Amino acid sequence: MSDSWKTALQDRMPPEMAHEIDIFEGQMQLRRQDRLDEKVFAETRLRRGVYGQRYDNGQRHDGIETRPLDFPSGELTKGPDTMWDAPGMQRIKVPYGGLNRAQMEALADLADEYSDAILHVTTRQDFQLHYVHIDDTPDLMRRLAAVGLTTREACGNSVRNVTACPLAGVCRDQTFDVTPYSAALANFLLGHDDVQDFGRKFKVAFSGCEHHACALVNMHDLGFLARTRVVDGEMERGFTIYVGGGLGTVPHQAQVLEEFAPVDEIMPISQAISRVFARLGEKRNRNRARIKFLVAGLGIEEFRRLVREERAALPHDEAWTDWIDDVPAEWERPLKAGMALNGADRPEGFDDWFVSNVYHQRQPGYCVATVNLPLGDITSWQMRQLADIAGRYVRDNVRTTVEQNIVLRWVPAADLPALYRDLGTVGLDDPGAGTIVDITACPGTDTCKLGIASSRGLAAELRQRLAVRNATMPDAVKDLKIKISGCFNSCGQHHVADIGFFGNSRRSGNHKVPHFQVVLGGQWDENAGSFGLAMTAVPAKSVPDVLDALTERYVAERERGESFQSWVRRLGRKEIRDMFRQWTKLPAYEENPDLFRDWGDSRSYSIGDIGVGECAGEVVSLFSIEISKAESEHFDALLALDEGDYHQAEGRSYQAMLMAARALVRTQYLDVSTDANDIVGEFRTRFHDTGLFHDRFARGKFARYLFTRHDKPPTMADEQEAHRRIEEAQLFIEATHAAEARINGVIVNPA
Amino acid sequence: MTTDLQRIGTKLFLQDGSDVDPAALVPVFQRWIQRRQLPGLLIDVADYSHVHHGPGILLIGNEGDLSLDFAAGRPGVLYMRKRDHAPKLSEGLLDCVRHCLLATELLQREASLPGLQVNLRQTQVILVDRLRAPNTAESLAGIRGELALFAYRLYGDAGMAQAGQDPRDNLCVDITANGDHSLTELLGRCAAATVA
Repeated sequence: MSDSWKTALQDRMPPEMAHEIDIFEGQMQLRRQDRLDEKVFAETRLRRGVYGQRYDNGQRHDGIETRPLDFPSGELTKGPDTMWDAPGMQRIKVPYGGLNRAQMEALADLADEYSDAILHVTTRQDFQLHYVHIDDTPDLMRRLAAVGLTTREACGNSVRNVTACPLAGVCRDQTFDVTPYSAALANFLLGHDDVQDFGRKFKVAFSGCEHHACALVNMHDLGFLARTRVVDGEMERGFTIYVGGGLGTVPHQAQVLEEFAPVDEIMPISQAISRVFARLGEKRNRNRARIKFLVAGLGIEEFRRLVREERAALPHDEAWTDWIDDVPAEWERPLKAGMALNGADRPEGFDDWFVSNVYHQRQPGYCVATVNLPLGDITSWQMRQLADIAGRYVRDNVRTTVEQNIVLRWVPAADLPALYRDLGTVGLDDPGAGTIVDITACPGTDTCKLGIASSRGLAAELRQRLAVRNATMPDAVKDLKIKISGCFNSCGQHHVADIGFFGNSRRSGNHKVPHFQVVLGGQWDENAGSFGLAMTAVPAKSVPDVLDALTERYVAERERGESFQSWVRRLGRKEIRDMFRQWTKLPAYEENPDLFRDWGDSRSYSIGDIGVGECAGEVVSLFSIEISKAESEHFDALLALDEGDYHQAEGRSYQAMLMAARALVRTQYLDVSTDANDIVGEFRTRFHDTGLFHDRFARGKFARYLFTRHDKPPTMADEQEAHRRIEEAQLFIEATHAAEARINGVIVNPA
Repeated sequence: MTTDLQRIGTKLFLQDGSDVDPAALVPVFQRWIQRRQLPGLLIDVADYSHVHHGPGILLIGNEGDLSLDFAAGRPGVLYMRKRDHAPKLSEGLLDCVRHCLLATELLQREASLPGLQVNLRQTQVILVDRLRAPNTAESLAGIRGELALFAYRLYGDAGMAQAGQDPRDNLCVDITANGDHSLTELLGRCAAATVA
């Protein structure tokens, strides 16, 4: 018997992967000896998918006070403010979501031995393991490498998991199967020299069709949409290439870089884009470092010119095309012959599951069955059982989805009742896939360092409530998408949901209240065709009531065939905000203490380590009054946007930022004038240059929204610019709230 | 065999019919962190009550995790040691049981958990290491002596049986006492095996 995984698996790991893992293990050793700088090690670690987790700075607010977590490794860190022994998250890439049974079993083993027996599917078709100790990561990586999986470049400033539509190859509407191309590009870019010097992460997606959600190319740094054209009577495959999309704090729609690029050009063009991004992309300010900012700054025409110039200068690489002849006519083969669903007995509950969880493939007699995972979680035991079930029905035709589920492809329709029974024996037969109960949520405050509110706690609560009513819910409501992020960074993809939420916080007297900003009208279809806009923030504990009010009114008032997006537009932002008004007025703590706790957490709500010092606030402070005026101005900007007055919308957004900045300045200097230059000057001197406005993660990012707009006012704002300014103003106001609480607001946490 | 295994744990099953709402554990575990009511560094609470037969509610620690675990549909108080194992497996397992018993003692005092009753006659040993202790007869044979010693030190007279045969699963062994023992008595038996 081998005494280490390294020796046990030495003949099963690709040599280069084994070598890379050895190198990483060596870097860990250097860091332990303090012979490797912690910042350098942090990026190294991230590029191996080894991520930080909440409380890894060695302190935690336990509901009463912030207390140190005295990890035994003492001062040893794995990055700035990141303690070596603190539990972390391990992200595992799954290109295009494709899994085989050996990989499923390996993942289950890793969850048991290094994590908490839970595998979490992410919104990029990855898996994440939580509460992993860094010392365990080299063996974890070796065991993945032995089954063809990697964690390389799963985090950090690198090319993240390449995603693809989970129906690719079996979709009734696809142009062609994008799977081989996504797999080939993922392989080509992994560890490529030209993707090692990015200022920020880079996300790639492949879609087989334009009109479904597919792979959401519109919100990606680099997106490929399958196309064909006829050349000399021959059908040629290619892609429309999109670039510069992204969600994040301020979402950007991707723009078309090339209307048609033949398949033999996808790698050189991707390489050329990577070189341009590495050369010209922002490096110092990570908040402006995504490629979307470079594309927006240069303009798509100039960006296209630079990419074409770079492409022309690239030395030829056989790897661009040597895979094409190996692309099989069919990427997958079914295990069993296709057969229509016949009159066999249907188990109880089957019909509901069939309606929501089954998709009829383009290949007659076959279906895709979706395993609806609550919050994207599956236990290690369930994963092994699912591997066995896959073995009985579909062999290795299994994929993860960006909606945090798993699909079994090539199920003979006649086998569906038996499959449903088998899934039921392991608790994986939940109906409602892709419906309102199938809520997407990022980890939020459960484990993420950036989480502000409990996205998973809220998702669990909503899922539980909605599931009870699912059978009787009108179809118009059932088909809505809910997506929840724990902060403004959009990991839960709230911008592209019918109903999105992202976490923030408000203050009532001397207490913080967890909130969610309600974002309405985003579009999941059309590859994330449009983004929703923030309406107002409501307390986390009020979200179920808000959702009920919203959906009930939609059902009651919608016109025949009217979509939720259209209804939201017709109702108008003012009306919606009025509808929510009853929840935005915060009671005193004593009146409703439960409002001051987050979902699934009995602690009094707190963000970070605020909570020390003395009580300084009034129940209604001057700041509260003045910031509310800024919020009102921001709301007027939203109304102007609705009315198509983009110039006014942009201008009011700027005014809202000025008013928020002035509200903050007046906490220190009451006599500041209303002149914009004075406000910006005082704000810069007192809050930006001193770092008081900065939070630990975003630093001065939100302040720069104000400075940039103040220094360079647009002559005439178009819709896109107005939209962006509104988003920036929203974030600036949120940051002002947070800064005021941090600086002046000494939050009292009742025992 | 020394306890150089990846993880070792013990689980005390709830009595049949014991009725516990997993959500009620969250505030309890949060309070235990506040008051440092269990040995070791306590870090956070994780709620997996939404998954079928899952790890339930976990009190995440540095050395080990304590949970109300629902694996295999058999709820129980589980302590899974992750690092800093005792030199011998039997001592490590006694330390795990000690954590389970301390937690049980605290849980049974909780007004919010009136239905919680723990079966002290059976302890499941869980060894999580597919390299050094896969779920095979050979593995079990290699550790049988340490398991017997553990069973003797905990219960005196007891029997043992492998809990499952799937070689992919963790190696689990049920230790069943031939007689009743009180919680206080069992805690006393574990006391000598405290791991620093």
